[in-house]
Amino acid sequence: MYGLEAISHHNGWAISIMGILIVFTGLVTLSLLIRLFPKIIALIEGNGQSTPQSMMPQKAQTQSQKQEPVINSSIKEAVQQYQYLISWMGEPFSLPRLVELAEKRGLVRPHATISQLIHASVIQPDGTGFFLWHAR
Amino acid sequence: MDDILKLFADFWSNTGFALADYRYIIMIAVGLTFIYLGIAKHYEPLLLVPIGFGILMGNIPVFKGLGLAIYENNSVLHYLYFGVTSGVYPPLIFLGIGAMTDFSTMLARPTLMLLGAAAQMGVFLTFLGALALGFAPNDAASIGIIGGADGPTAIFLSAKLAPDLIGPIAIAAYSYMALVPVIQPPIMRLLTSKEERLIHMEEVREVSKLEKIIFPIVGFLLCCFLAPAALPLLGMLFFGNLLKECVVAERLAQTARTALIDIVTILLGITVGASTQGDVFLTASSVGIFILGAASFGVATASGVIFAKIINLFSKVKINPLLGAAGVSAVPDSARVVQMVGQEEDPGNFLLMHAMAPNVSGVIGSAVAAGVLWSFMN
Repeated sequence: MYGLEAISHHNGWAISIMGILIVFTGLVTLSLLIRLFPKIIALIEGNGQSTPQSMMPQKAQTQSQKQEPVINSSIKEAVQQYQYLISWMGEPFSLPRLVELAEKRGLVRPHATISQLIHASVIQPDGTGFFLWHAR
Repeated sequence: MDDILKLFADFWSNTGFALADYRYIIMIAVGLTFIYLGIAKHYEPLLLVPIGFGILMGNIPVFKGLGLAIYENNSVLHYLYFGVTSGVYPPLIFLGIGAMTDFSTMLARPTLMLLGAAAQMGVFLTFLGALALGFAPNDAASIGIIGGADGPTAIFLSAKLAPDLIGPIAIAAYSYMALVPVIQPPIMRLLTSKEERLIHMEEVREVSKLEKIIFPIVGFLLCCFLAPAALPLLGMLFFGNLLKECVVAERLAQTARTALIDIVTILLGITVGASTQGDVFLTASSVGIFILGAASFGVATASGVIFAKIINLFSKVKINPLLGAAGVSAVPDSARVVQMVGQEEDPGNFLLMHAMAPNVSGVIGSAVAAGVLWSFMN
């Protein structure tokens, strides 16, 4: 038996549809549970209600541990150039987007420059995967 | 003099030169190709070199009855092959994979897990294709799982459902896994525009240690309650990951991700290779399995990419559709391919870390798919 007849005979359509649905259900449910992890952890750690504030302990912590930027002459020009870009982008910002904009504006070696700015604490992580500008 | 000639004639009749036929020669050429691809082209050398040499071992024509060939009950190779036919090796490999996998990116952006689920479409569409070509349901299910791009899962399911097809299915699965850098890029380019390939992904949040420890436990319970037949694979995968993340069992994790997985990979590679004995392996159904396997891989890649584009239709934050190709569970090769294709358009686009999320969820997805197929076939 071949073709569509064989598929129907062996209940192939139902098996495939159910199979895909089960795989999707499993992974969708798992992804929803993973989304809840930060809230669950906040509850486990006794941080009280899982409010937006308690969802972002890392951000608060990072900001409280904020380091003073060290701007020397070698990065002074880069600070001015990138400050303009970031004021245009808004904060917090993502590094890939910053690299993209820097390349579009023809800035030289953006990866290396941004790396220098991070080392000098001019650009600092906000704890949620984005970054903040700390040279004012 | 006659005695000497007779002895020589007897000896000659038992040599590989006298016993060989064209099928052994073809398979030896295949084995040499695998070894060449592994060593010279660096295509999955840790798999292709043992499998390639195993093919050479399995295709030395031997006198039947001496207990040398892998399909003879009392041969050493047969005992080693027991780990394949009984389904012992794949869960041990999953233990090692779990102990070396970092699920952080997936935990930080769980939406990308859906791409791992979408890529499993390849499994079920190939199952339908195999049924249409006249394969029995058990064989069709084992062939379909090649689309999961997960060698151990393919071997595990074949051992349970279609033991006679383990050789061709394993060889097809590992061959296509090794050829990920060749098979996937044209499909990815065909299904995406330049603008889509240029999409940059946002930085992901930092994942806490506690999340990483909770995940393998929650993941295991959920997936195995849903598809209990996936227990041997997912149990070991998540257990290995828990060993890694809990830190206090670092010695066990270290063993699982180094010595144990290496030993099992050697045994699995050699015996799967040796199971491709020319007179058993070269059949019309093997050719069908190879064609369906290639189609399965292509469909899985395309499904992931297309699903990523569908997500983009409804989502404010766009994702790079190339990530969908990493939904097949060839870890980490398909993620590397995503990075490579993305950087062809923009060298500043770093997709590797993001591609690991669908890649590792693809491992979970293909194991669940295998469990589902196994339970349906029973």
